[in-house]
Amino acid sequence: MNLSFETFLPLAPVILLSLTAVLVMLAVSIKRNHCVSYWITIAGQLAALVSIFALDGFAVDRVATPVTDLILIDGHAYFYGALVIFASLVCTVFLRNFIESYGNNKEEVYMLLLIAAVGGLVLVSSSHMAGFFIGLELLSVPVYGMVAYTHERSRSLEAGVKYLILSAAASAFLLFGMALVYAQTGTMLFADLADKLAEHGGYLAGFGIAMIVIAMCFKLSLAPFHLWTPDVYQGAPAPVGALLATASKLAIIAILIRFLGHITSDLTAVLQPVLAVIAIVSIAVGNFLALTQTNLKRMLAYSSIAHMGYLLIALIAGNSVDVVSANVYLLTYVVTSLAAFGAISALSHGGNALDAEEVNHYRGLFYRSPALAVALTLVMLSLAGIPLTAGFIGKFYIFMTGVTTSSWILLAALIIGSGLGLYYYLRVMVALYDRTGNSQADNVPAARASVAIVILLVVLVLWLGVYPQPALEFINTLH
Amino acid sequence: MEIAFYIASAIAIYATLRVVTNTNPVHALLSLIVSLLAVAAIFFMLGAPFAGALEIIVYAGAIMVLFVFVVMMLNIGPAVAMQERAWLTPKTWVVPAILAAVLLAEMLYLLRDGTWNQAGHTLVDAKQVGISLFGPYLLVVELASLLLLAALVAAYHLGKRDDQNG
Repeated sequence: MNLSFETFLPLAPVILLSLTAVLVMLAVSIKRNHCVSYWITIAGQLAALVSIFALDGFAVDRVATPVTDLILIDGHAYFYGALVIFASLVCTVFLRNFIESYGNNKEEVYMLLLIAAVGGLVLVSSSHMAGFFIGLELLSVPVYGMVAYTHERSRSLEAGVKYLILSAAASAFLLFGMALVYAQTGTMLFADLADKLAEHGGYLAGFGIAMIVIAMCFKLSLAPFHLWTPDVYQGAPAPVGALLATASKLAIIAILIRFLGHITSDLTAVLQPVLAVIAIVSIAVGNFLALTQTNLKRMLAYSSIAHMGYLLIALIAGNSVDVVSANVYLLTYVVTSLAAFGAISALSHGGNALDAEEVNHYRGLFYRSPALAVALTLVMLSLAGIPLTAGFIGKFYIFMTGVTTSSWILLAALIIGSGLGLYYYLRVMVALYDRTGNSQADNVPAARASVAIVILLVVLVLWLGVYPQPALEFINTLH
Repeated sequence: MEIAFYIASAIAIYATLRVVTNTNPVHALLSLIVSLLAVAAIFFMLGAPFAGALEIIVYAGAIMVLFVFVVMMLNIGPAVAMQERAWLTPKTWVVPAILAAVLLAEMLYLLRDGTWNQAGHTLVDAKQVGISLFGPYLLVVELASLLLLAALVAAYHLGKRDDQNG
């Protein structure tokens, strides 16, 4: 086996991010300075993002390049990778003003964020069970620390412990599944999986694949594996919630798409009805439980369960994964969710006992911070899937997948779910313009950098909604 | 001639059940050590002596001893001496001791017999593990180091109190 500079060149984003994490660590060990750590993190992530384009990551004639057996870099891997880095970059900005008022050490959170981003990148490009597992752990372990980062708040610590234990259970499922698949097929490479499964197929491997899929559903917080989600979203600091809802979900969806593409069709046929039930239950549970929430973070947690249910439709309708629909939906979901959590982050401070998470905090926000209120309104419209916003385009693609594959039951779930969703999103919007005002939130200043980023994201939401052509064409050329 | 494998497996399962059902942490930990030793024996018999040795050194050795120490140190107070005496009753150690003795007998029997990997197909020794770790799986080793860094930083931050500086 020959390893040279060229072998690792396609991994430049991963290497740059790892390097940045080490740089932050060295900077902290020389002298603690929040500002320096912050700018190193921003610069490193920008460099990683630029490196994807510098490597012609999205060139049309690009062939998939393997880096050892573990990693296979193709256009999709770079697309999801770029989204992961984008999400973590935005979270970094949100984190800054949040962590500024936090009394304890501030700099470590950037290191954890960078390592989580490395994990996301490895996960989306892995083509081997070992890469799959190490990527997932690399994505999860720093996030445990980040969820519990403000451990002076008991809720944050509780959320961290909950996420740690339940994620560990999911990882155990994943490992056991991989062991069963390996025991039957003797291969850990995704590329060999289909052939070997067809050759030695049996209950053991099928059971193993089911366990792997269950672990993924767990991480995606699809019902009935969703019980941890609202508590963890509520307890996590708002910017970390943004990371959990976007980068983490996105990377796991990406590997799930890749994994499902490599198993035999008779196994897919067995999995399909199971996943369809999971999708419908997720849509129902997410939307019904979100109806009664008065806490914005919990509401977003339940709505993310429903959104993952919608997304699952693109993965299971028909005989194969509709990657284009899934990608469009992921893009719109990531941008919208980042903006939603960004608005919460802008009003939250690490030094306070609670984030600005109750709907009451937002009552009359329009008269205190009009720009943020308008942005949040548009975000809620996008989450609800109203035309002219990104959310509509995403939902439209899922809808089209459902129609072309004649999956009428799934479509019915999508339509009913969206209708229910409208109610609780509208309730937040009404609160924003409620003149009665609210004393407890009047004096919370919105952080300017976060508001600016939220507005940028909302512009992106509108642009994707009004003129989606360039983005859609770009996604169509991915291969 | 796979009887040794089944005995070790039975011990592993029984000891693990005792870990889960025991309400006294020290009793549970003793059973966990036995369970890990039994799993190590299984690794040896499957033809993975390196994994078996690591299991004993890292889990049964380092991590578990650390656990036992921490649990014992948590009980600082006047009741400690009494508790120590209570822990030394045969009820505490007799079952783990019997299970460990069975494992020992198994090991002696296998040493005399000379068939190491009677339940496995091939022998994977330390050299092969090293070659694959620093060959095709090089990236995993590097990423694992990042994973440890993340765990270390998170543990450091969570363990640190507000009133300390640095």
